[in-house]
Amino acid sequence: MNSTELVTILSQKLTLSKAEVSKRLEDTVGIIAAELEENNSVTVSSFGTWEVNKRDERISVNPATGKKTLVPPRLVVKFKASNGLKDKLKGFKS
Amino acid sequence: MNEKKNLQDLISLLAEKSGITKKEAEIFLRELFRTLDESIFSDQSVKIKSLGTFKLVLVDNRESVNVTTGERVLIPAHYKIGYTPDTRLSEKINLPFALFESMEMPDEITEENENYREIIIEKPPVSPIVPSDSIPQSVIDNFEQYQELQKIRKANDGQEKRRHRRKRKDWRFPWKWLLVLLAIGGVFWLYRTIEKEEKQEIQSIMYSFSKPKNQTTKPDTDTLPLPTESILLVRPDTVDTVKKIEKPAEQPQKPVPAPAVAVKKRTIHPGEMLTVIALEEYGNKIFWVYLYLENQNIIANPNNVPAGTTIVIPPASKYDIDANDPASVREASERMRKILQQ
Repeated sequence: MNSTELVTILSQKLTLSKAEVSKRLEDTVGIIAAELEENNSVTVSSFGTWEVNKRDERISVNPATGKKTLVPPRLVVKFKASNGLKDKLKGFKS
Repeated sequence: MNEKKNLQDLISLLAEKSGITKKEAEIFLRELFRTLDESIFSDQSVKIKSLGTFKLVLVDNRESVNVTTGERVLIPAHYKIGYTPDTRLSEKINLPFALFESMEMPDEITEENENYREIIIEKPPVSPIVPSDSIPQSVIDNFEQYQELQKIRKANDGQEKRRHRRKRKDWRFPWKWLLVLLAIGGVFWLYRTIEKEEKQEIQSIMYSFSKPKNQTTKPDTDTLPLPTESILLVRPDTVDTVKKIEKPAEQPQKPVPAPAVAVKKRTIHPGEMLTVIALEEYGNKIFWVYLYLENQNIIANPNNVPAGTTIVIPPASKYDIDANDPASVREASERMRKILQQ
């Protein structure tokens, strides 16, 4: 499913115009992104939580050349599924 | 900063941003996440623009050990929810570290060899863009360590070719000698720069006595007409120019205007940052601070200048901007610190 399909589904479920749904979705994503930029975590219970983690700098070695490289630290976005969601996975068979 | 936002917070923020009631926002959000939930299982992959992609990932059986009993245990194959953030989102989040690059390490430096942390930073760094709030201490620490490593890399660049080295266990590269040499070099460099500045000052004083209004700021030493007061020799072919100069000098009441400078302006394009402009205009990203200072009345947040804003580009001489002068760069770095403390 992509964003457009999501908008279609939601506009049906909520009896709202697609334009309205699309705008609200965009706003929501913007809010989550803004919070993450502020280094805050966002939790939606029963879905999961987005958080910002730091990856430390590390020395990595190219096994082919043996050259060492210093990889700088990074901030990354991580999503952890909530327990409710994970439980659903247990019963899941594709 | 390090806060935990929950659904209620999202509801309030969405209601405000979208101009809808909290009830409407709540209904929307609940339905949104419910739909996401269902779709992850039905479609196995859900991609949300500007947020990221959720995928169902199958992980294989894995042998492990029961921590309490110590007996071997098999974790069966199962599904996990994988998340990959949207590229632009990742970039935005990583902004504080955006200017860092991976770099090669010389062979002598290993994780055990902690010497590189002893080196003092000599040259002020090109600062990364930081969020409007203060930088977490851990980031500052890491950044300083990173600069030290860059210092080492530069110091070591010439060393890599040398193969014959004493390989005694306790042998350390004589960093202190290197530091002394660099310090001396730095002093010479400063001395040269100061001399240069003084020369330019003298020339600009001479310049303001002689040249008429419509010239540009920097006086050119080759074409500088000589003032009559000076003891310098006058070449025959400049006699005419000297005569012309005498006249303005004999009108002492006439105020000498500063050479007119056209005000240089620039409009910010989307995604263009002050640092990029500073690099183009002055040769070093750190001088963004002067772009900000010059335009403080129209720039609220130096980290986010809206596209379309027209800013004034001050002439480099106004703030003594010189990309080749470490003192100038250090000064800019200091200002940056002050600005960011606000």
